[in-house]
Amino acid sequence: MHEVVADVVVVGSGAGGGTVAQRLVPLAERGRKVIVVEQGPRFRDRDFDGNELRMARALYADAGGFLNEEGTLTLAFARAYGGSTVVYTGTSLPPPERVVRQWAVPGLAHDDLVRRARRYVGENNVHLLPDEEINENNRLFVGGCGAAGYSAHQFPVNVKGCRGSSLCNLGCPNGAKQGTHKVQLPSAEAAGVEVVTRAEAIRVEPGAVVVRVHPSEVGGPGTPPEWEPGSYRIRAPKIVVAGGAIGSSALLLRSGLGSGLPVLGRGLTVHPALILVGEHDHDVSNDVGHPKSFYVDRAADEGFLLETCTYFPFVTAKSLTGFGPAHERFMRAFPRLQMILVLACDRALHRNRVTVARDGRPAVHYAFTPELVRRLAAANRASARIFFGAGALRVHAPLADPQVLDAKDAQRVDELVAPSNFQPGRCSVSAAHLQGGCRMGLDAAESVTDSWGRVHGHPWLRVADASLFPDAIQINPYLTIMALADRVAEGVLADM
Amino acid sequence: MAGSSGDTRGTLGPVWETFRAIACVVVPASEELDADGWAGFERIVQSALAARPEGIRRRIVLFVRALDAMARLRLGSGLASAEPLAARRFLEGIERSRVSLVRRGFWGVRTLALMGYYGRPEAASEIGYAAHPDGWSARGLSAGAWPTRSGQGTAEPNVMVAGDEGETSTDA
Ligand SMILES: Cc1cc2nc3c(=O)[nH]c(=O)nc-3n(C[C@H](O)[C@H](O)[C@H](O)COP(=O)(O)OP(=O)(O)OC[C@H]3O[C@@H](n4cnc5c(N)ncnc54)[C@H](O)[C@@H]3O)c2cc1C
Ligand code: SF4
Repeated sequence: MHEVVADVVVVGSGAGGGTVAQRLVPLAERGRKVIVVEQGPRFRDRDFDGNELRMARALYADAGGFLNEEGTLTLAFARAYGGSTVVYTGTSLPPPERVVRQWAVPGLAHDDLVRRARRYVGENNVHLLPDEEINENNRLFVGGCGAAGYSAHQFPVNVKGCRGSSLCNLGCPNGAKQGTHKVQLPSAEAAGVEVVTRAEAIRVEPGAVVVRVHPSEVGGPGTPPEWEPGSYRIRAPKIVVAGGAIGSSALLLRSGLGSGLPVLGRGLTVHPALILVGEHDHDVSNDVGHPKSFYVDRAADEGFLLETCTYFPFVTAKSLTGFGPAHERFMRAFPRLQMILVLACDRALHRNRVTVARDGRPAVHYAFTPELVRRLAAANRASARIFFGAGALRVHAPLADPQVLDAKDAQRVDELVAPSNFQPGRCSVSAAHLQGGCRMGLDAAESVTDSWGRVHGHPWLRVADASLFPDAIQINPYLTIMALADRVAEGVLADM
Repeated sequence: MAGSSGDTRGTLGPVWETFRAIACVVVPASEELDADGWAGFERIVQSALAARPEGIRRRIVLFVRALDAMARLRLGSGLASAEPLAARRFLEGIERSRVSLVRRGFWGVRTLALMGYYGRPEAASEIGYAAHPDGWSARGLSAGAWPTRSGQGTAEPNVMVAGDEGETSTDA
């Protein structure tokens, strides 16, 4: 095993890890060694060719098909230099005050998070797209919301030079999306922080991280690893784990930290999501233009969010419930489909958790509660009203019976959509907002870290990613994650 | 059914004919695929399975076998030789089964069939999906020049944007 010496090791380079890497630049400038190990590859813009299956395989865990142990929920998270910011859509919202208050983490104030988020709003070029860049899919949503009595808000997005490819979730071919792979990591590297890709942290221990560097896949996209493939022990007095909600819990559990931290891995929330489509009588520009420009926030009142979206042929096909001629008819109407992503706000529950399988791989246990299904049904109803309000001829709503609603059913949406129509394992539920598992809190009995990401009882170890959330954030999470990571990095700087 | 590849390699090799019959029910248009189309379909499915853990691969093969056995009991023939409408009704019952294990197994098989069909590059043009890295300009359009019928303006933003440090809360 090769031995390497550093001052700080950061595991993971996504929204959390990328932020920490950049905030530790003052250490690198003082000649201290900061190393980021990232298990995914480093991609170049030209690697992102928009091919759905190839990109899913290159970028996502289990090619985008990572399932919970119950087989009822698909979890989407990326493995790459930049983590899931490489595949996110770049919608940028600060944490809701109401949620941070409910979290009630001693020492964590909403104002502080907002102040830190603001820094990244500036750095990552967060702005509202001008009206002329809004595509028809989004305009229909706004119009439908107006007709159905919902207020639609425009998402600020973090793009620079967006050409409107609509391919955000397969990696931006134009280098326009300002994830940590475009902003924080390159600036950290330029200042002397070392980032090693294809480098998987196998376990952490006091004063060291054990890492395996994997070779490139022959003919696969991405650059080769910066270090020779093989096993390494990186000795460092400070370790920051930012492997994402699943990766961080799994790494700490694999490292044997579960015994002193009874809630480690627990309280996972994911914002379970369904994709709904409405068919119009004319082409909707759903495959050109930035995909996600508007949303409806009913989190505080009804426990759900509605967002515009665009998906690719296979993901769309998989997300529509059913099969056969009715399913095919929607797919053949692809250019005429308006799309809405509904996200339910779930609550952190002890039983929804990350564990590790015998081979060390992460496993996720997640069950739907009746309350959550009611929220999904309410979101289905609201979406159906918005589709019909926008002029859709037919709507596919997985919680309706029948699942295809015609315009003549528009007045009967409340009656036709019901929680009882939800069958886990039949409806395709997915999730991309993975949160919790290393929750912040007061002590080891009820949390994993304090409000600065310090792991209780392990002063050498911090966590800096979405796993810190004590409960669902109820809005798109990345700015909150960056704000928390910013705090964690400040703590590391203070320690050193 | 046009263009059977007869390929018995890969995870689904032993149950390929049954899986293919299921795929034709899930995506009726796959009946129209020629030999090259099926070869592309099969390549996608087999390589997706090859990347999955051994346990999952074994379970999928077992589930396809179990479906075929159930079909024999219910329909009097295996799925590869069942009458298409009867096969569809049978699989609709499976999809709505009260037994969660059965629903989940079918969801997995259905997902593979949809991937095989809609994952083919040709499927994009068949259904009119035309996303392109060059976005608006690939359509010969500048941003927003797409003809719009809905014509609504934007809603009031409730945001935090670069250069404007005003509004900060997303609370309604
Ligand atoms: C398709 C999609 C669209 C999204 N859109 C939005 C959006 O528009 N707005 C928004 O706010 N959020 C969005 N999100 C969510 C957002 O991207 C994530 O919440 C955020 O990136 C999570 O940050 P993180 O640091 O916790 O984890 P990640 O960004 O996922 O980074 C974790 C990194 O750690 C690495 N890692 C894990 N374990 C190890 C290990 N043992 N060794 C080495 N490396 C390891 C992983 O490979 C990964 O690169 C989206 C997510 C997805 C998947
Ligand atoms: S829509 Fe814009 S930001 Fe998204 S992938 Fe295309 S060019 Fe990049």
